[in-house]
Amino acid sequence: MKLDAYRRELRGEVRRLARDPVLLGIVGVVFLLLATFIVFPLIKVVQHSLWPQGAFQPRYFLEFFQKTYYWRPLVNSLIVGALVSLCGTVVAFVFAYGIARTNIRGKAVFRLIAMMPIVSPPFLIALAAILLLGNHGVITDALRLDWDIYGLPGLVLTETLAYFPIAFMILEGVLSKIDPSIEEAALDMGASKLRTFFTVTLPLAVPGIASAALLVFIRSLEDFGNPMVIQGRFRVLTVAIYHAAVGRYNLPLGATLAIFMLLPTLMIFVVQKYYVARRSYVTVTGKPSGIGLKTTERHIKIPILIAMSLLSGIILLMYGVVLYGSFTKLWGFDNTLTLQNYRYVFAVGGQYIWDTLKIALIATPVGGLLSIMIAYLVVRKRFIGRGAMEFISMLNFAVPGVVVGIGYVLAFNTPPVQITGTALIIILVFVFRRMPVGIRDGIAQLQQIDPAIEEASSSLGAGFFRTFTRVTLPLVAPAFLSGLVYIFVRCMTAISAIIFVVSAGWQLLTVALLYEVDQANLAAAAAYGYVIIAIVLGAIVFMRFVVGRLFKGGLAPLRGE
Amino acid sequence: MADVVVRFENLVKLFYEGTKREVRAVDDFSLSIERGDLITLLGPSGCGKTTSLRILAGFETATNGSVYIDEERVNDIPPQRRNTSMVFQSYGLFPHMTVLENVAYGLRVKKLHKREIVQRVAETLGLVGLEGLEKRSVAKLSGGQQQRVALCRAIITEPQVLLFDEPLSNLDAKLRKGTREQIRRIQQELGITSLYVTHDQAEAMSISDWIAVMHEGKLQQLGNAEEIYAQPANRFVADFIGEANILPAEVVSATADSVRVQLLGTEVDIVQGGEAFTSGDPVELVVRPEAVDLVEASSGDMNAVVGFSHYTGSIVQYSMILPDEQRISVQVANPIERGFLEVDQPIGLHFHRRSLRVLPVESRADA
Repeated sequence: MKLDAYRRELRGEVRRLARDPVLLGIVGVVFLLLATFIVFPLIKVVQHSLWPQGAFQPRYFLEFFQKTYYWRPLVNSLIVGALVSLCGTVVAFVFAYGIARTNIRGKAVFRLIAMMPIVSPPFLIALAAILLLGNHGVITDALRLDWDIYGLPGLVLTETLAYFPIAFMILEGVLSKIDPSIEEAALDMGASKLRTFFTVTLPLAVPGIASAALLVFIRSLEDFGNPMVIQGRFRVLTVAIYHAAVGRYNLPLGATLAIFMLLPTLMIFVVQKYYVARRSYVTVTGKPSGIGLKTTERHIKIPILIAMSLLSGIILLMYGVVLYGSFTKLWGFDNTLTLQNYRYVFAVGGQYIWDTLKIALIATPVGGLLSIMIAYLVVRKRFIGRGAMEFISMLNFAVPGVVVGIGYVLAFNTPPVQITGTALIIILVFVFRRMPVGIRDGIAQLQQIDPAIEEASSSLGAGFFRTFTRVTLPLVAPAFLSGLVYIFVRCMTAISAIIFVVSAGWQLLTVALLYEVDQANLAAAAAYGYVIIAIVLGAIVFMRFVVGRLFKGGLAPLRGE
Repeated sequence: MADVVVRFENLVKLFYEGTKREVRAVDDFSLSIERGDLITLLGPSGCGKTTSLRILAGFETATNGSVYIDEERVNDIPPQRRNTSMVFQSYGLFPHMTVLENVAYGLRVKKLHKREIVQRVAETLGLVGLEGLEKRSVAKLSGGQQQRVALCRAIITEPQVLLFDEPLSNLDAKLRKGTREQIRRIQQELGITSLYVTHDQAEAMSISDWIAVMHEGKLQQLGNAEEIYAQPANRFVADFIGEANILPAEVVSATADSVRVQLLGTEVDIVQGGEAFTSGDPVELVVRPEAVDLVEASSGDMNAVVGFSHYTGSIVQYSMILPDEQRISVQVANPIERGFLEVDQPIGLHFHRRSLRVLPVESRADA
């Protein structure tokens, strides 16, 4: 009986969808795209792992558990992930607390420094670590140290610095959104500030902390650039997949390792989305919730300030040394200043710069529009498969870049979609890799817009397309444009999925950077790094200017994920 | 044959929370609106009034039953192809557009000539006293002005049906009264068939040709303001509309135009058709607080003692204790002229025969 009514409801939806051909068409196209560029590559990965020659033959799958050489990288990755998650979250919490809940000075500067790892290729930090602490590093030489930065310590150091900003942004949001009246209530009942912190503030922040920690864990697990540079003999899974698939062209092995990469990240994703996120106490209301309690006690403020300054100092030092390195002749041997590295980058890498820009400038608007379109469909429209659309499009959030990369290699080097070696495959990787964040931000944006505004439009006779372009899009424009900046930045800095799909015809800056590191040409690598940073900063400044001119609110803060 | 514009026929709307819980928002609801009438759906929140309105607009789909506009079944027609316009509770103005662009939106969709659009916008704004504000950004208007822009935007396309979703609930009390008079005036001038949703009974009673009282997804009573107040169809309507004392009583005898009931040993004749009642029926007597006169002790229908009183300016409200310890609320208008009663003072109650209402006792299962 109940099921009957539900079916009738569904039939009604089908009938209405059929009456709205534009919507029906768009939904169809979106599903086709999601199936082709998200689901299909994943299926290919599983197929190549378990059915390598068409027959069921899970050889590598079984060997994975027997050969240390296969399973060790997974264990190593998990160890690094756990350590980075721990360190990154602690550092991020101190930073977030300092900025959100104390009255220290220089918050803008601290925030800016914390954002630096986001606007540069994350593995630039690994490069910096080598310039500072490597065999011929500044600190190594100065202190005549005899140590090896390659391996676990280097990985934890660089990935912590590279990924704590993500946790910082989540935690800053959480800490500043805790309703101060809850803490005031605790103080009012006689609890000390310390007690209030441990019995109210911290417990309220726990879901946020867990989210942040899990996210950093995933980021570390799927990091490719830093391990590639600094893992040494401590082999992690992403690099192992790359070596198997690209180095030895053993695709079944690569695919199998990719599955073992995918399982933990998917698990964490599910835990985060369906367990942690549902426990959040922080509700975002439109109501201004006061200024919040700021810690003013010196004995709390000063240690926080010192910790923040120390960390900021390390970040600045790292970026500084890369900048310095980019002007040296031969790092570690001949540190005389020269412009030769930049001449080299523009001479040899000029084509890469153009290719990267062209690809980024195509992928950015396409990815942005597709994201906001899907977000709009998910939030505002009711149609069969809406939940599936949201899930599939968010799925790539949990799929590590190397898995996407190997999936694209497996899926698109044969018909029906044969695009290996083209710019198109790179653009598609960018578009579908960046979509989850765009969709999620788009959903958050749209949920803040009174549905009555769009309903008014359709009640006045405007169809789906007119309502979307005349009403919805202008209203989300500031967020949409800052979403574009995010996609562009990621296009300029990403490496993990991309390295599988670049070709002689289409090279990217990050790949060139990694190549120079691999050739021990650290100064040239540093120069590439700063070219990327310059382009990214240029784009951000330009967008800020444009958005500032067009909209009162200005550009939303950059997202780190 | 009456000229029916809108017809709900056995409308049912179920909402699902997950796959487990099912909520009956609208339950077998039928209603017809005749051309030029304004009907209000009145009820507490969650009674299904807004859902019914949104089904008519096309924003929600009916689970069962049909909706007709000018005898065309519109269940499967998307909102943009229905000739309805809605005035939203939150106004739903386009914040990135000017007053002109907002009001002109529907006409632009219809691809009218620009000169005609500008002229009609000016005329429509004139109707509500907003002439000359075309260039203003809607964000810079006061709440009342925004509300009127929303009204203009809805009426300018000359819809078959005009829909109002609690349009006044975001305005303060004074403004609300003025705006509702304006809405009623314009609706009558233009003769637009309208469906109006509100939970505010004063608003409903002052603005409507007909009021449909809803509760738990069902139509409880359809009538004009006087009917739903003076002749409530059931206990819910009696209780929801205005204030009511509901006292248990028993039918002594019933004729075509009066019912004699016994209430705490006193027999009272009530002017009301008594076809539905027979002697001995347990009934409930609806006594409005203003339907009782206070007289000398032992000279009225019943004696009582003053429990407590509170004074609100134009009236004083007494809680009277009846002989069986039941309490009944009684209002006295203009107390400054009539004097105040002391607490514990004995008093006589005299019931107005025409304003009492006898209701059959509802079985608990229905409630």
